[in-house]
Amino acid sequence: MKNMNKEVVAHIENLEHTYSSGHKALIDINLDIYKQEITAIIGQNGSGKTTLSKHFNGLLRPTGGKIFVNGKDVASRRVSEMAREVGYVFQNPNYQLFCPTVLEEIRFGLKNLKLSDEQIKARSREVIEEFDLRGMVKKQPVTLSSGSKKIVALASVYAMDPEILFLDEPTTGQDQYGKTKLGLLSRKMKQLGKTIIIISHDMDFVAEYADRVIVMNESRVILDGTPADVFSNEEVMRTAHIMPPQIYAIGNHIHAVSSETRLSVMELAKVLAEGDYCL
Amino acid sequence: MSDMSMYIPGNSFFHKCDARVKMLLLVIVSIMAFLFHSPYLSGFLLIVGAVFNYISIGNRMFKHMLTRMIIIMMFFLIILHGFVNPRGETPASFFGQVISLPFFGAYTYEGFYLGLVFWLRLSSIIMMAELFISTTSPSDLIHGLHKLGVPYNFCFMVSMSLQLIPISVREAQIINSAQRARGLPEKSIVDRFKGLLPMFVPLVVSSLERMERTSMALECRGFGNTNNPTSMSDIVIRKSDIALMAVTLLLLVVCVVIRIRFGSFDMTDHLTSWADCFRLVAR
Repeated sequence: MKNMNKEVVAHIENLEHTYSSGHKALIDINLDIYKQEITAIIGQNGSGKTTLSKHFNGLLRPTGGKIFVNGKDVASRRVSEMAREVGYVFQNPNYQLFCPTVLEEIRFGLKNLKLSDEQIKARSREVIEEFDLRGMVKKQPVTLSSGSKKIVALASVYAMDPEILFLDEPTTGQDQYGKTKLGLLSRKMKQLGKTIIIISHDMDFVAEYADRVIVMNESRVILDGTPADVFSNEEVMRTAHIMPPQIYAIGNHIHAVSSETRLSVMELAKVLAEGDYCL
Repeated sequence: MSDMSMYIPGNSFFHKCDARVKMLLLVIVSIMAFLFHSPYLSGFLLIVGAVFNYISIGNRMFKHMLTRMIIIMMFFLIILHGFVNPRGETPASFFGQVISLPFFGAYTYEGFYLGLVFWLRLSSIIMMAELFISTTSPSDLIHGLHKLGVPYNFCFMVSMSLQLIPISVREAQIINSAQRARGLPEKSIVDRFKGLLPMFVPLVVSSLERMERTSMALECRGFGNTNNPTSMSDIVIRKSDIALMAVTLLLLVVCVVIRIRFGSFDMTDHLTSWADCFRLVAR
């Protein structure tokens, strides 16, 4: 999806990655990631989503092609150096949380950035405010519910003020409340100037919150567009074995005359009520 | 290394061989390697072990961690012993030159000889262990132990722990990535030590959690109901296994007799040239 008006924060050129086992996990990836957008990467397990995302902060190094973040080549930089620019929230918050209190968890990354005491205090206060964590700063992260753990893990990465934030499967094991909260937080972070990249299997979540969807299948990007474009492309959905949200599935079947709209329940209801469709 | 169990599936003679026979083979080789104070028998065992390995796993033996260990040990033992072994007296001549290190003195024939003997002893055992590990699937190993009279629960525990190693290794890698992505410094050795805590806590927490989940899942499927559960696959000792056992036992007996009648063929006190190091009896 080319967009001339937006600022590019990450640029990927012919990226390839082959694991030492010989498995080609990424083949010829060309992408631009735009500032202040929520981008979702979807696809089956093993399609290369996580492999792709780990290239942004250097956890994996390209075996071919290049990747630039903020105009700088990632290949020559250390992961801890990249942490300032690219935040990565792992799927399982248990792998990330280790401090005795939530507050210290949030400060861990800031200490690694070697900020001054005042800066750390100010920044952690800000994050606690923004993520509404006041009630649990003194608690032990391990004892929190899985929803809260996820939020704390997210907050601890967000605190480092990275330009790009990766959320790996943010909604797995979350109830509706947790999902909505994560979605709203993503929107808020976007408004605060962050670029969010979500890797997810939760199509409803993606349809609701993403501005752009990238579909991966067998190590390649097979489609890149708005959620409406992507979910109404039945052929691609079939090849990638993705079940679009039901609202899109219905929309795809009734061929609404005004297909440009991003379908919501209300919009679909309106189309149905007005008889503005053909089967 | 992604697969820490180091088992390489295959269909060779040693893959089909009973785990108990292979265990016995390992024990006999370990005894024989230390019988003589001469490079010949252990060198022979090393070559036999290498050939057996090659028959069983082919080229993959060259990439095997234990093979690499043997090669690394060769450098360390033969070079280090030459300089530091306290029994070293006669400086070795390298085309008429003597090589010496400050503090340790010259490289000696005695040191070389002892280093060589020691390396061959260890590597012949390692070679046999490699054969055992890479051709015995963890479940065969457990069957073997169980048939040797080890209680089933203990065998099961061993096999579970073996399976946990690769899982924990993978988990440690993920945790390491997670912390590095949070800016964990990774420049110096001090940084690496500091990085242990953020690694250690999540690893222990998740291991404990997984253990609890696994034990509950096991109990839910009736584990512990009997001490002698039905075994689906059985390991049997074939005729060829018996033949292999007989040959190795015979070899052991012959070697022990030779050891008792003729001594250990120790050449350490008769070394004056490189050729002396490879003589079976003193001039």
